[in-house]
Amino acid sequence: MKETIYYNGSIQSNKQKLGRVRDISSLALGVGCGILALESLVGFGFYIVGTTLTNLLFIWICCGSEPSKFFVSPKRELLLEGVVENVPGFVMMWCLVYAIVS
Amino acid sequence: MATPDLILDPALKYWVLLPISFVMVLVGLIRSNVTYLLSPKPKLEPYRAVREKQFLKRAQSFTQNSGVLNAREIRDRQQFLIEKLNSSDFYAKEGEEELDPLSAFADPANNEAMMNMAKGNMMNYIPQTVIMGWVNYFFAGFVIMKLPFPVTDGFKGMLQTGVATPDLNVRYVSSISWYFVNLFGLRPVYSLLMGDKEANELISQQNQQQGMPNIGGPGGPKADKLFKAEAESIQILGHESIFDGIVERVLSEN
Repeated sequence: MKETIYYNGSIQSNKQKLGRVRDISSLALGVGCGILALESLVGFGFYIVGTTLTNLLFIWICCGSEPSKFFVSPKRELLLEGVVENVPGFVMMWCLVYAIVS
Repeated sequence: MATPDLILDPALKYWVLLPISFVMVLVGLIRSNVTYLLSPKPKLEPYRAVREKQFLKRAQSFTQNSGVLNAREIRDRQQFLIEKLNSSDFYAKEGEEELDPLSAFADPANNEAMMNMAKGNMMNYIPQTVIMGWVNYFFAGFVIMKLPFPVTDGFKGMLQTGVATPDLNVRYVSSISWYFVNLFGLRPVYSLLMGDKEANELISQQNQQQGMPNIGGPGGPKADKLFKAEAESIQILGHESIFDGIVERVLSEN
């Protein structure tokens, strides 16, 4: 009957680091998508696969495969949240690089 | 695709796409700096108001943590706190008059808070309107890029404003749609450029504000009511110390 108590500051800082990784990854995926000149659904599929891969790598490398140590609800926060929020950034880089490359 | 591709001038990328992005990033950075400069500095409070808050906090922490004291200490503090809470020694203002909620608008302190809110809103809207006007004025009337994904025809009016070709594929868009893509997509760029500094500041501000009841503010509870309520909860506080029977508990657990 042990209840885990999280320190709010650390949780916030972990979320911040995750957000930073997400920002960079969404922009980088957009650039990659544009360079590969992917179009329509293939491009969005590339984004979803790419973010999921980044999240898994984050769990593996940054959390040492034990995400419940660092996040209150690891599955939702790591894999689901932030996927939709970062779509605009991805789309922007995708459009820009696609226009420049083509 | 059945229709042949439209050939776009490559100079469009360097003279339209990149300048718009560049300007939007710079304006965003300037905006955040100006907002920081306009943000209100913490003001000094009169010492009586601070003392009132601190005393209430002291009483609250006593009710929460009374378990660490023994029975005599609890009794002494109970007596002292009840006496002080029921007297008017620690009130910020003597003899508070009843204010009606409407008069809060006439108070200069509240006016200032509203002014700050208005400033914040203005800093959000004015730059966007200005950039949109600039884009509409300078880069109107031609197709600048091809979107990498298909869009439904419903967006034609919005994405191809000023392009007088009714049958053009909606994937070819004008500058205003690049403006919108930037408007939504630049958030990660800003957060990477501005770093974690601002976010950290926000968090520390929130931590400071926690646990400070809004006494005497507009709509907030009056100090005397809070003090009376606290006095009552101290009155009914049970004498329960964590040291009661501690030897038996420690020994029985091991």
